[in-house]
Amino acid sequence: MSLVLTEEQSILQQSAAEFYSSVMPVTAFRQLRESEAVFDAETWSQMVELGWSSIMVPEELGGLEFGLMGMGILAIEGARTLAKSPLTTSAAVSVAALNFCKPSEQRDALLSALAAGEKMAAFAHLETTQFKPAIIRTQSASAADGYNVNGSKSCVENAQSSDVILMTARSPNAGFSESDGFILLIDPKADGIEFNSVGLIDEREYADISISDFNIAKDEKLEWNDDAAVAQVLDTATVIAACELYGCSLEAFERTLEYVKDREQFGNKIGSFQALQHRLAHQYTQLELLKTVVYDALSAVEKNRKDAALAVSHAKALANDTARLVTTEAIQMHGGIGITDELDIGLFYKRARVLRTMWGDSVYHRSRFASLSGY
Amino acid sequence: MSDLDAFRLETRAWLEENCPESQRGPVTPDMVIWPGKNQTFPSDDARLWFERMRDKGWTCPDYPSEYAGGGLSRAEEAVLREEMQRLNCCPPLTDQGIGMLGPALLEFGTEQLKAEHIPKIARGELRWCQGYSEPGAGSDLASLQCKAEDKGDHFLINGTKIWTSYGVESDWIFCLVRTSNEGPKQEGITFILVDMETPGVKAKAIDLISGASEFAQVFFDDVKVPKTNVVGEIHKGWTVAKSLLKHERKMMSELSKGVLGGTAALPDVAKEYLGSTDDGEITEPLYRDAIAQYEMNMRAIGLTGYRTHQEALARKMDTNVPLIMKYLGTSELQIKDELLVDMMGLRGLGWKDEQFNESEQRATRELLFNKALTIAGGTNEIQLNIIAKRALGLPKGPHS
Ligand SMILES: Cc1cc2nc3c(=O)[nH]c(=O)nc-3n(C[C@H](O)[C@H](O)[C@H](O)COP(=O)(O)OP(=O)(O)OC[C@H]3O[C@@H](n4cnc5c(N)ncnc54)[C@H](O)[C@@H]3O)c2cc1C
Repeated sequence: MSLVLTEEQSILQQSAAEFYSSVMPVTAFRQLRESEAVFDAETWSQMVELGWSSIMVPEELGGLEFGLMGMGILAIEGARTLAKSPLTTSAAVSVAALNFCKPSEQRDALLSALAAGEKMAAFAHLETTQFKPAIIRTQSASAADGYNVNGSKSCVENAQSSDVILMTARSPNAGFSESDGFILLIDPKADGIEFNSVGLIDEREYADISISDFNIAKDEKLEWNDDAAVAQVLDTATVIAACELYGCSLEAFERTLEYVKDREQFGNKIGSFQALQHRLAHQYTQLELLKTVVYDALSAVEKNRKDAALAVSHAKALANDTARLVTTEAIQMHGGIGITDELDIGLFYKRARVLRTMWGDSVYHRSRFASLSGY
Repeated sequence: MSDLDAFRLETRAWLEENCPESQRGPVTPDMVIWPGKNQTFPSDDARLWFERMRDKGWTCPDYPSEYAGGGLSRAEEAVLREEMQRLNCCPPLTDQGIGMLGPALLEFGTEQLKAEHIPKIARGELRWCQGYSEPGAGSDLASLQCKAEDKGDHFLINGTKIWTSYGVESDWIFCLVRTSNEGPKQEGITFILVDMETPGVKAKAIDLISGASEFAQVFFDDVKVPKTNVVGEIHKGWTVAKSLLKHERKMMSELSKGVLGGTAALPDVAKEYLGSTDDGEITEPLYRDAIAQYEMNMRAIGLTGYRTHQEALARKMDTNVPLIMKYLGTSELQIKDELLVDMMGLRGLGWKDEQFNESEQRATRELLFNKALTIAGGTNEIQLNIIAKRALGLPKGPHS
């Protein structure tokens, strides 16, 4: 029953909705952007207490092993209030990256620490501003007691505020294919690593990283499970982004629906105008399709289904297109107030606009979908 | 093993044994088996298949067996449908009586009407058509004017119906007629059954842009119809019609899933007409993108249908979701038709000559015929009105 939430998943969804709307409403996002802090440590520790940091961590390492579906539900609900926390970068994507690595003392210890909320991690993979996931130029060469690392990463989310960066790299003579390579555990506070903040319109923490002549110990290099691992991590990141896009879109849509039922012009509620009704009805149909496709992709990745990559590309392409439609229409249907900073609608547009570019735009994912379908 | 599993195995074995090879799909329009007083069959196999299914009551599997139906439960009917899909069986009988009139008669008809008409529907003895729309009443159906005057034991009908599918070929017509002009326009309408052999009934074919002529305009000139032919109460035909419309929309959205289908897959056509690389990639990136977009939308629609099915089983059904299926399915099908013809170039636009192959001719015909799908059974604009009102609770405007 992968397209309908189980009882446990429904309960998680309800408590997430309650938590985000009471503890982390959009006003919390506004407060954070006025302050120096990236996250609110207090709310994050509450999330850890709820078990959310350990949802994807295996049971034997202190996790809940609740699956990607559970994380997807949290990502959807969190996006509805623009919640800022290490949840998606650390508890979802970084944990997924470690899950797809071969077990080792370092890896297991880090997973346990992430589960317990004792540490936060960031995942650094992309090296270009256009989405080209196969390009990895960052190299790690054997050195005296370990490895020597050189390279750069582009626009890594939460890199500076993390305790550890999971950086993809390859050996000096390897070709540029996704299939070889490994993960390096990098301490962001060490010497030899440089950050350049990238301030994007969604006002989250991003930075370009350059790293040169950086030494790590032998056990700070982790091996991927198999050739498919990088793609699986990217698919996890991509489907989580699709979840967030769904959450942003749904929230913007529901707020707009409320507004058109309230606002009057020409002596009528503007929601009675057919020109708006038909567009809203169409958006509703797209949101229902998106919900289905996002659930399907979460379940496909969680169960490691054969068509998981196809399902993920489908979800991201539809999420991008639906978010584009719904969040721009939301601004339009609010009229002048829609383009003010005072109203939240524009914030949903800005967040969605960034997410649409992150992890691949629609053209990229339709092309991948076509290749995977044999055309 | 549960009873349902046993039923599945039995059904599977029976279908494998009894459905002739030639009656397994893909189903093309020339394979459709119609009912009627002077029933003819596309082939001897088709007749055999029809008779076998009729004798089991499986032409109308969910009708009660006392009316020549199959008497199957909803779950059993779903199993039969799945097993027929598995073998790609041609429907043993296609008619507007089965999916629309029958259920309405079962719900609203007198015992006499049920006994007289339902078994004939199930056994394919009569062909039915639907007389709702009029030249002045389409989307705004309740403004219909075809008049039925009360003459004691019968009504005298005068007026006209239009866009009547298969009006020329049918034996009987179920009509909405005006029996009163008092009160709101919905309240003076009566649902009545008319034998098209009654003096004064005339059907005239209308040619379509697709070259077919499946429509008719039906004229009523002093037509006498006994009052016992009224379904439901006099003046209360709108209630019957509304219930029947639900069945019609369900049929339409199934139609758009490609029951008519069997047209070539877009990627294959693209490769054949536009070319592909050694890896099998379509060489024209814009067509490749458009095809992926279409395939994604169909996958999303299919999965959403499956989601509502799962939700229904888990008793968590969002009843608004089925409202969106006709709108989405029919729009996508038209996108496919246009793409197909675009890729075929002039070969997709053949009208008269023999030089166009089967799949090209098919693409052209469907391009033109499928324009009807976003109009029939409530236009897409009307569907959006319904979604806006029911799913979104938007306030009523002057036209919605
Ligand atoms: C293939 C096919 C089979 C059919 N079979 C039958 C049949 O067997 N029996 C039968 O009785 N009828 C049949 N019909 C008729 C069908 O029900 C009508 O065509 C349909 O209801 C639309 O009515 P109309 O053609 O008068 O268009 P109109 O109602 O005049 O519509 C014209 C345009 O105006 C738009 N419009 C109308 N009202 C509104 C509104 N409130 N808001 C926004 N836009 C609006 C419509 O969407 C459409 O785009 C069939 C039609 C087709 C295409």
